[in-house]
Amino acid sequence: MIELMNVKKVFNAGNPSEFPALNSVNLTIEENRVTVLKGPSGSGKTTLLSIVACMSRPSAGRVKLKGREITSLPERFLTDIRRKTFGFIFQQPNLIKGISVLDNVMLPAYPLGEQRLHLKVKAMKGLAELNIANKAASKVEWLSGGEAQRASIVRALINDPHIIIADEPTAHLDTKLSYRFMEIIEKFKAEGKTVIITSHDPLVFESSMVDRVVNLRDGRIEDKPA
Amino acid sequence: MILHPSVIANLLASYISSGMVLYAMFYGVQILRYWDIQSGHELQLVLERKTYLISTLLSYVFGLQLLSLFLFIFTADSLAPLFVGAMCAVGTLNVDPYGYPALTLKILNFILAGLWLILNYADNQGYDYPLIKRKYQLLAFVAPVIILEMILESAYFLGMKPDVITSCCGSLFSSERVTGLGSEIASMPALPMLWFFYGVMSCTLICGIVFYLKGLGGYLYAALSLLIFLISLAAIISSISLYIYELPTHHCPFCIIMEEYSYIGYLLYIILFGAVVSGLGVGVLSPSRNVESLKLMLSGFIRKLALTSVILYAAFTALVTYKIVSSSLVISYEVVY
Amino acid sequence: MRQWIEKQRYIIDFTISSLLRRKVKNFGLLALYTLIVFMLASTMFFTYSIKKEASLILKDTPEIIVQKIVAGRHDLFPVSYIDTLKKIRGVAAVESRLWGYYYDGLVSANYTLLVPPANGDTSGKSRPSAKTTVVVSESGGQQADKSKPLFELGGAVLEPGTLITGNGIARLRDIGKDDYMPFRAFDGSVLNLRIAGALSSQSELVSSDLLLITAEDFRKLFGIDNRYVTDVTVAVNNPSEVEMVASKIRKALPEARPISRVEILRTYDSIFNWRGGMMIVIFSAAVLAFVIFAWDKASGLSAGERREIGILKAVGWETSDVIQMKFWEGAVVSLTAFFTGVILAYVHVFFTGSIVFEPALKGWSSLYPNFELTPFVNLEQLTTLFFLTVVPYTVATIVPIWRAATIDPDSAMRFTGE
Repeated sequence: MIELMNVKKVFNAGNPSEFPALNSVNLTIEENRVTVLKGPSGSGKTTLLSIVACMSRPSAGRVKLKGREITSLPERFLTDIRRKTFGFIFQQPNLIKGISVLDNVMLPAYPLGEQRLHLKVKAMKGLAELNIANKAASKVEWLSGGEAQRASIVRALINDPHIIIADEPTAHLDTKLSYRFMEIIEKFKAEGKTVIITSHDPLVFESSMVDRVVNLRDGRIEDKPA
Repeated sequence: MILHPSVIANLLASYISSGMVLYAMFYGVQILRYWDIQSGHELQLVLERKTYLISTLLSYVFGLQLLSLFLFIFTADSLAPLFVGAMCAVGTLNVDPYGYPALTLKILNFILAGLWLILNYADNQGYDYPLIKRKYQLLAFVAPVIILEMILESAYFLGMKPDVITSCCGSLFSSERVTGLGSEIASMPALPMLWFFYGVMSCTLICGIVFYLKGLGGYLYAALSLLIFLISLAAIISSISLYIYELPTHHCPFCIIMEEYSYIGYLLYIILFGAVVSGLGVGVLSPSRNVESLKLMLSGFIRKLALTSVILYAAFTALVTYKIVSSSLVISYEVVY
Repeated sequence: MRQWIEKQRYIIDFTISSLLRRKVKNFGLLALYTLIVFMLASTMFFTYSIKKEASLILKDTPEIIVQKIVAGRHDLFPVSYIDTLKKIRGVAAVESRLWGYYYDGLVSANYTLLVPPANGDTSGKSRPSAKTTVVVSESGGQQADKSKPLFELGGAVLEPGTLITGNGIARLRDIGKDDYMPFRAFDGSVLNLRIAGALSSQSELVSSDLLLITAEDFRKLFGIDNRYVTDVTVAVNNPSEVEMVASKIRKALPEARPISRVEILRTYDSIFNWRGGMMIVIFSAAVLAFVIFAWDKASGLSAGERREIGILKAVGWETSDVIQMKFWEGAVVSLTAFFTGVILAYVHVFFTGSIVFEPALKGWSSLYPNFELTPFVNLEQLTTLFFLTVVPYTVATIVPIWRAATIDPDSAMRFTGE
């Protein structure tokens, strides 16, 4: 469970270019649910997502993760929590070019110093589950768009996170691939994971598996029920 | 000034060290003034990022101090032929009044930088920066000392003029001329000094083991480890060096790092420095043992430090004992130096 | 601990792979870095080993050399003074020497002519014939002359009418054993001497331009009267009395100048320290330029690199992990450049005779000694080198590294489009 209380985020505070991205957001995200943050671009979706996912700290307000206050934790603790709790799927696959798919998938686990053999087995299993095990040794540049996204999903899962964060996951996918993606999300839900997605794609927020849609506008949550 | 490659390297190292510490200090002061862990404002985020920069800088300073300590002695040694009467580093360090103070400060700064890193490590384990103020207060103390070292070292190297008559290790650390600290240490009777060394060392080791097992006497151990560090240095001058050189009158603490003695000095000094830094670390961290956010890990870490220090001191003792036993020099009770 | 090691291994692996991915960009830096190390290392190896060589040779020289000075210039030494010297307390033996220079217009080279010591007549004990002197020229400059080296005659017998040549001369004039060498004597007559053999090349630094000649022929060639020699060497019983004996000599023979071995050593040292130091000061401009280049390179991250670091941070790398990665990157680059540079310099100085720097460093060049220096490298040199190259590079990259490492992790979310 993630609780946000009165969260504010201001960029360039004190400068003429001061820009409030989030204004007093109160939000509780329940476990084992699929939550979609919806809103036009510039509404603060991504900022909110990055605060929820321990990627950045709010300028004011509190964030609690499973009852533990994490607002003022130093970066190294936030990172530690983040990499064990969250898996990230970005708008772009964000794979690192020039290294193999397998290496890319194992990347989030490097700082944990896990045994190489273990890690490899885990990564191969993940790739096999999404049917791209045969691409493990190929370079990232040679993947198709769908394969790249699946590789990035495997990467998000490598540390076995409870919560999956997806930022505009279908923005660069065609309809068929978007449906495939939602199938994968469904599988996560079945496994008991929590999923948080930002999207303004009806295919996503109108999907039957979505439990809750949060509407954002101008850095505030609109009270319109989902 | 002598235009010698090693002199240039020494000065460069010392300027770089001071530059880095000053730079770190600049942000350290900001942290001391504006630190507010509860705040999510940009200034706080910036300061938190600066802590990474500062600890990176300080770890480089620490490494640089260790390396430059040896470079300093090397340089002093290789400059010896330029000074009448100087045969090794001892003579060169004596050419002007800044040589020994610079060396002493170098050792002190190495230890201080090491302690800072220990404090930093402990601080990083706590989720609320529990030691941040103490850490930067220590930095505020270290910075001027490193600057002072830089000034002394510059004065030492820049003021050097070849052909100044200096005394060499034969006279400074000789027991015949009893003036100056060096020769006073050297003139301490070799055998009693050795017994004294072994005595205090045993106490230190026992105290360290007790602390490791029972968690009692942390401050005592820190104090003892500083004491035994000084005694070890004295023992090297007054007696251990005799066994290494196998000469009953050569009391030089520097020649042992030279090639002729298969660089045994490095091993001895590095072990000794490592031991004193980790031993003092026990004392530096002990007051923070009850800090809420560190409770879980800190006492384990302190015990690990104590164990490291005990092992290093034991290794030092073993090495020294081996050197004494395998030496062909025998000092008997009757001989008085 | 095992976790820590494993983590470092992952990070190092990743670092190396990302270095290799940017071969072209990194190659330039590496090449420049290696060149800087190479230049500094060559200078240091050269000056240090030449110093070492000199001190090895000088080890067996007599404690004191006594010259006669007239109007501040080195003059011939009257044989009659020798008895005065012998009477000084503490003097073990006094030996006279005959040596000088001969300019050979044919090949435009200066030879050093030397009369080898007559065996066992002046001093009772037979001293090894390994002696060298370096006499500092009157101007206090850096001209270092040499006379008696570690020579081995290799069975050749020196008798009137013959001479023994150093390797340099044999090479230069393309002559060998039993050839004749003409000399123009002081009065214009021609003296034709037969070559009885060549010196072994053990220490070519000093013996390259050397000619051994008999005392008789030497006097004939230069017209030096029997009452004079070039200078004398004084052996002292107790090494700690050298300074004392030297001052006694100065008192007994006011016009004589005693030069002690230690002074020669010191002068030699100063000269080469000074030369090495000068070279380094000159190179420091290059080092500075390199450091600026490194700074620039480290701070000017390409969009691709920023993106990569952003991704790493987004997927769970921490700032200090990225700093560690960059540290390893620096270490890999530095160590590669350092060791390549050092090895190249080693080959350059000790196997190819420092072709690049020879003229600048050697300084005196009547006849090039084509010698191979005995490899002499110690920790001090390597540490100094490390401080002059790796340390500035590393320090220059700290702040840019830190900047790169503190890229916001959520920046990866804001990447849109490729």
